Amino acid sequence: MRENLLDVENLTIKYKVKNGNLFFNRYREFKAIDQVSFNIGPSETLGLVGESGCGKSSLARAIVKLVGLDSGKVTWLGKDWTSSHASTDRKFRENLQLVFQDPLASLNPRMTVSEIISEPLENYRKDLSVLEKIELVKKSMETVGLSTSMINRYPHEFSGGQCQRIGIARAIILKPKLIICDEPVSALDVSIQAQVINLLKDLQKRFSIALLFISHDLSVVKHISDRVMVLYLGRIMEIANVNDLFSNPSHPYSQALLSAIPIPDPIREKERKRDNLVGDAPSPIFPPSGCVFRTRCKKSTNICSIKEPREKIVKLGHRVACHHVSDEESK
Amino acid sequence: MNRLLEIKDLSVVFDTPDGSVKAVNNISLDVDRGECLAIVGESGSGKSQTFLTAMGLLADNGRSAGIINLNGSDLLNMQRNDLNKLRGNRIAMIFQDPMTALTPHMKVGEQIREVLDHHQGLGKKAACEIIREMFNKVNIPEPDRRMEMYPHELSGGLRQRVMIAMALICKPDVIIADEPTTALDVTVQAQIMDLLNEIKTEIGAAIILITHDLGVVAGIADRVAVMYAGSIVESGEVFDIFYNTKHPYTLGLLNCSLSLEKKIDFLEAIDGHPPNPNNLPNGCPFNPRCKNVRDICREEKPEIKIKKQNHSSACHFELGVK
Repeated sequence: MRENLLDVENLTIKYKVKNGNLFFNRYREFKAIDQVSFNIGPSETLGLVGESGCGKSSLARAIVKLVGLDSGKVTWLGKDWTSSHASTDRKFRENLQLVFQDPLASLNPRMTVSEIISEPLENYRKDLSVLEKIELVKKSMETVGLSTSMINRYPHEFSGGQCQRIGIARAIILKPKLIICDEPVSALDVSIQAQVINLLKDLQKRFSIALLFISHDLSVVKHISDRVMVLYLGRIMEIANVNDLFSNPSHPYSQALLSAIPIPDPIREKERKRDNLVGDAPSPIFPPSGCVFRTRCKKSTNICSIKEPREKIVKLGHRVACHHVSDEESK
Repeated sequence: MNRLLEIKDLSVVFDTPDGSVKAVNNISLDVDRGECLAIVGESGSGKSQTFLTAMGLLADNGRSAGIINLNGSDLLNMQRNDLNKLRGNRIAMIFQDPMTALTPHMKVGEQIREVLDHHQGLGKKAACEIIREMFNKVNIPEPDRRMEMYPHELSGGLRQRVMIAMALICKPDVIIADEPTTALDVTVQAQIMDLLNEIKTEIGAAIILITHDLGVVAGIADRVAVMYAGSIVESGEVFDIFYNTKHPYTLGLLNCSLSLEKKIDFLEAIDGHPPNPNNLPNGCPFNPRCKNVRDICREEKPEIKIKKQNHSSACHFELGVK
């Protein structure tokens, strides 16, 4: 069996929200992530899709311990990462880097590019001399396609696409094993988006980095991922190989997501029959009973409101949480 | 002809501390009744500024020249009072971010009633009746309860529906939708696009859809104008733009837009980034990023020329001909 880089078992994250009135402060807990399990193997890309508010970013933050988790277990490189003490966390983080959504906001405006990109080195490679660090920064900049003549400029002098490249240069400088990309291309223009996706794919091949690629855009996820996980209100609806999910989506939510994506081809788009979901996603603070998707699901029956569906294995590596999946198969 | 909105040789210049910046460069456009014109371009291409100018919403440091003709009235040289009679009444706008476009401290019903009061002088009761009907039309459930809500109490999709209801309430001739679905989730985006399609056929208004998403364009547009660095580089019927592309920039956009059906290893990205309008390159503005660039492209800016019936492009060369 292959050794997984990251194993997440039954991860649950709870947040507290104020739910009182003028005179009484009451707090209500809700589960942003509920019993989520998955793993990431070496140099694999796991795509994570879902609508806004479904807990995509919470999940990413919990993996790097930026938010605490309430139950569950995260194993990183074979070691238990949940119970480790903050003082030993540093060592783990060296191999785990992040790329954020807003390219400009994730760079310190008062630091030069060279300072930004070399910051991970200041933390983990204190043995290096200044010149060696600059050398590494330059190499990293070249790798992501930035001219090294811009090394002493500030972030505001760059365009969005270039800022995202700086963010990526910072993430790869320590040669991490896993990069978590939280919507890395959604703030970019189409032509720039394609450049950044190509860059990420290329880096992954060259340095065999694993990616956790978070996006709300299924066409981007399809292009870059090996496996895809579909999240809805903090629960996994479906997880499968990219080809299985896109050619044979089993969960009604995945099917609806796929049919909602516009195709840039007028003839196909006008002929196609859309199967639109009704309404918006319910608030995660008051999730529906039973299956969380039942309020928008066309196949919803009695059992859906009573019992939360457990994950079923459709085939090896393809899990679906829906009451109606096995029914269809036995027919 | 049912030509509703006609823009001719429009230029918009902004005075900035670094000198004047040309945001829109001599563009001409027109829309007919019952038609959807999509304006496609990347950020900074001038697509929003063109129509903000048409609505009289140009920033203070902006100057405009040219003709914007709405059904016989010249929007550019109009007194503010006359313009206010047209805006929201004959020409309406749907903005990208409904949370910032709606007033946070007014109930949504009240905000829409303001429009009806201003343009038609309707009383509260009559106005509520019309709003209820409109909410039903744009699929807002429980209209009476929603009218009494503040924008922050509504979800993103509902807020955008309120914006659309507000734009439609006086049955305008021209609706300008500036990236109406960019801030929404895909499932909600699909609902809103279907709604706009219905409006187009039912009300017969002209819709101008400003967007960067070619998938959205394919689903709704009849005609498309592609903008780059403040100029229109290609315009024509939607099928011509997608299947008989004439301009290398349009082709680049088509090649790098992802689709569920394409499975390619490497995207054909357009190199470089859009030019700074402060400092446009000589000749064709697209020349530093163009794959077919030749000497003439660096010297002379190509005019937009009709290449085929209803299909024009601003390129020195025929695409595919070397």
